[in-house]
Amino acid sequence: MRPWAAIAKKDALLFFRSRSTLFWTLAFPLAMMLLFSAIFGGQGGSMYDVALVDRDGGQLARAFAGTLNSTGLFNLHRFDDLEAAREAVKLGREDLVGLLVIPPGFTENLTSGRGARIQFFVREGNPQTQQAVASMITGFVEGFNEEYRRRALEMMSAYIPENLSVPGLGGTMTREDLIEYLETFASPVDVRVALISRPEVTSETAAYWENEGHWVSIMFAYSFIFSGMVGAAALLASEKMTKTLKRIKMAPASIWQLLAGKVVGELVILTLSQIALVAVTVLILRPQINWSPALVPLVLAGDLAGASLGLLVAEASPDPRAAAEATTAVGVFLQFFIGMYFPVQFLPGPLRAFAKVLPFTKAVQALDLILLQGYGLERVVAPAAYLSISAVIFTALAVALFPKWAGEE
Amino acid sequence: MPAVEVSEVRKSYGDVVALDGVSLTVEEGEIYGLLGPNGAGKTTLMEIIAGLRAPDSGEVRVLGVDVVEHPRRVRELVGFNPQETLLYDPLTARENLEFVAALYSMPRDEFQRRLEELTDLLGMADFLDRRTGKLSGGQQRRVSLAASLLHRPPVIILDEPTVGLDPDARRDFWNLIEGLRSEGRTLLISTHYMEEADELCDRVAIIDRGRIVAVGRPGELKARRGGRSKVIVRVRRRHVDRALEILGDHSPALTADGIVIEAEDPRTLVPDLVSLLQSRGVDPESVEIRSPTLEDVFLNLTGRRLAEVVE
Ligand SMILES: Nc1ncnc2c1ncn2[C@@H]1O[C@H](COP(=O)(O)OP(=O)(O)OP(=O)(O)O)[C@@H](O)[C@H]1O
Ligand SMILES: [Mg+2]
Repeated sequence: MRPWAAIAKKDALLFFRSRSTLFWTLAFPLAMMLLFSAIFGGQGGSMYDVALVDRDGGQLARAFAGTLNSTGLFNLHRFDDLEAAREAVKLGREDLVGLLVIPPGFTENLTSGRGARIQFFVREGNPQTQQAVASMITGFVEGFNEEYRRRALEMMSAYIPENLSVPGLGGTMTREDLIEYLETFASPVDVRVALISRPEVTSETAAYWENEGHWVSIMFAYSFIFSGMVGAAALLASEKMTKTLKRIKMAPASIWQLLAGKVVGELVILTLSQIALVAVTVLILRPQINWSPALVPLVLAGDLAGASLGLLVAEASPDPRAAAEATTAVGVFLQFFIGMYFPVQFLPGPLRAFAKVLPFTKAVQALDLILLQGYGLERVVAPAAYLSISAVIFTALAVALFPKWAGEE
Repeated sequence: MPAVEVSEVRKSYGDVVALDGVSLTVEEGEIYGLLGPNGAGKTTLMEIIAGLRAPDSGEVRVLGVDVVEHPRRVRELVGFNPQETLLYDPLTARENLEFVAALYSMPRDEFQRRLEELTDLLGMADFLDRRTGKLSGGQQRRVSLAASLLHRPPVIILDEPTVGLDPDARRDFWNLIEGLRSEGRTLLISTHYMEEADELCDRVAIIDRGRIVAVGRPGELKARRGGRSKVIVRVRRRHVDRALEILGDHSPALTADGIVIEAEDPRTLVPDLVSLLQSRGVDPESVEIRSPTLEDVFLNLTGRRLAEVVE
């Protein structure tokens, strides 16, 4: 084995053999993912809260709402005022995910044989919830129509002669043929689905925060910070703390082989951590995400930014133990700035400004766009470039300071 | 060609002068001891020879290769076993050694052969696959030594290799060193145990405060700078004054060890002393001849005792 490969392998073994490291880099973020997606992700049971504004008030409107309520799929909240209802849904009050409006004339239109239209507004948020609620509503309307048709035809059939025999296209048509024929195109209630956008949506990050696929982006960013920055700093600092640097320097391998080994080792550690974190997240949350080759350069840039930042801190610090502890503290702090526990937009002004200059926050932004929006690399140029440039700068500094660090104590 | 040639090496850490113009020559195939108290500069000197530190001035050659000019070639020639064990605790002994072998770009099959040899030589079979963090101090030392010997270096530098070993383990270690010498290797060993330097080394350099104060074969040093042999007589407490009076002609000195009398020829003096005491009614508890030790050499050269400065 080449010296650099041996150093990489040794670092990976040291990393994955440390219980506390495994806890902080794998168990902890996965526990947070489970906890937070349980709190914010699923809608508890299968009941969705929906606002209802009945502007018709007629008998059939009441029947429609009553049937909808009795399905057990929805928990209807009646509002008298349309604007109030719209506002409540917009802000997501009482977990409202949508607004159903029965327009005036619903009953009259239906009874006079004209079609009636209802409107359903679904709140912008978790796309899966959005989709589920909208299809439940359209599904219900279909079922309602079928039932309505059946009853209407039952009523009308009294007036259709028993021995009907009309000449039709395919031969003579009987009474049964006619009823079946009428059933095929009657669709008395039509539903229009539209979107209500949320007021606080000012950037992609917040919009995607409720999306379970966002956790995949978070897992990558978390690995950049903990497996990357904290891991690299600790592994480098420990060579001095345990004095094993002396053992390496005794051998004829050059310090550049040492640095190469450190970087390759970090990439191995990061990749393995990411496979573990992302695999568990995907298996548990089953988010709908777009796997794109654009992820590869982006994740590598994040890996490099994290690892080289860690190396840099360890090299610049006068005391190796302090370096390891400082990066851990910084890592813990940074978790709150990448949109892991709440959208970055929820941070107060100055902290938000800080989050915005963090390369790891940019990484999450770009990853969200690719994973959740299906964008290609060309559409995430700004955050991706920011991340890559940071990676290049950190790496250059880490390389420049390395000889001094590896030299005499 | 000498195995190690050090001339006029100086090294300071800030205000602390660790080496103050050290010169020495280690011949090929010899076991050379560096004897000195804590802080004497032994480690600094060895690290400079191993190419781990640069001297402020002076010249160091290992088998003719200049350490400052060709540090990487010197590292191939030297196996340095530092004072600390320098192992990765979460890795097994085998993994640690595998790692070191790779640092020397050793091919896999050669590593396997060498590992078997060293496992036998150092008795590591029982703990080869245990994590070194869980091994005893002595076991860790053996793994660390194996790491320094893996690449078959012709010159082996051992920095206080027996610190913390019990007397049995220390004897085993001395046998090991003899074994290495019989393979034709050169050994430079630092120690602050004078018996160790005496027993083990062909030649000893006594180092104190960054200077070499004497060099020679242990016997030679003791003969030259060890002073005279001593006869130590112990009598019952109540007879001490009387014994001192009886032995008055031999300029006795009372120490914690007993009554000490210096002698050119202790073997003839002892029977005389015993009969003199017995004829005056004092029966000695014990009479002991103590030849000069390297300890005495150190004391005579520096005015201090080795043991005093060693904690
Ligand atoms: N890295 C360092 N920085 C500053 N001073 C040092 C350093 N290493 C050694 N010294 C000082 O240099 C002197 C010589 O130290 P050195 O370690 O070479 O002695 P030694 O003979 O090996 O001692 P010991 O028997 O305790 O191992 C001591 O005064 C020590 O305090
Ligand atoms: Mg020392």
